[in-house]
Amino acid sequence: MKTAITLMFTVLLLTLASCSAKNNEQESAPLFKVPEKLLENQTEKEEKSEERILPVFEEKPLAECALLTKEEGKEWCGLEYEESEETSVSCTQVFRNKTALPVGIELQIWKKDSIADAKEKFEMDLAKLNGKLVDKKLPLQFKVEDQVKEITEFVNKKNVVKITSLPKNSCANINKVVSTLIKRT
Amino acid sequence: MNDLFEAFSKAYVKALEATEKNNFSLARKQYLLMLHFHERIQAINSKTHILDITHNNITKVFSMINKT
Repeated sequence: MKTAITLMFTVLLLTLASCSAKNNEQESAPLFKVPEKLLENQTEKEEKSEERILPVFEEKPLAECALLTKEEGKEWCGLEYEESEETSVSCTQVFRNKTALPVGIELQIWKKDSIADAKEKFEMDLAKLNGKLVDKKLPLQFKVEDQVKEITEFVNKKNVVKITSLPKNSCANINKVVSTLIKRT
Repeated sequence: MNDLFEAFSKAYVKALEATEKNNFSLARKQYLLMLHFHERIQAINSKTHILDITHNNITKVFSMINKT
């Protein structure tokens, strides 16, 4: 009787062991087999794509002082946000196309201690850049335009804001940018 | 000035095409040309961040190509 029970137990154990082995095989086996040739081609392609050298530009975080959001730059100008930089006296933000070409807009703001200081800087820039005052526009603003670039600068309260477009017309809706910056300063 | 921009753009397109075709010697020449045109644009124009970034990018790509 004892022998019979031992035999039955052994058979049961063996059956269980074979079942679990089959299950393990099923789990480790892939759901479908990828042709080896395709895999080889894929790795070749991946290696080749690593070899290709194209400009890769890292995106920098938007500074707190930024005047436009990334989305606004994209929507109004069709340009990607590139970088922003804050110093003790000014804040600069650049939107450009993501190629090596120098196409884009640059927004700069100087926050002065007083309205008089802001006006003084504005007048100095007007003289330095040989700008032309825009008629009947408030706040006071001037424009500089040549074959390549276009600069709009205005003074609003204690702020002086400069918008450089290089080359000119690189932002499709520059007027929207200017009016938004006037509202935000 | 517009001619300079056009020359710069053409060199850039050629540089990209050459890089795609793994023709790095031609790409190098084109990137050198770009740097040359870029310097001239910078000399004429008042200094802007856009030009600075562009210059950094070209230099970076050029150094990457030089390593291959």
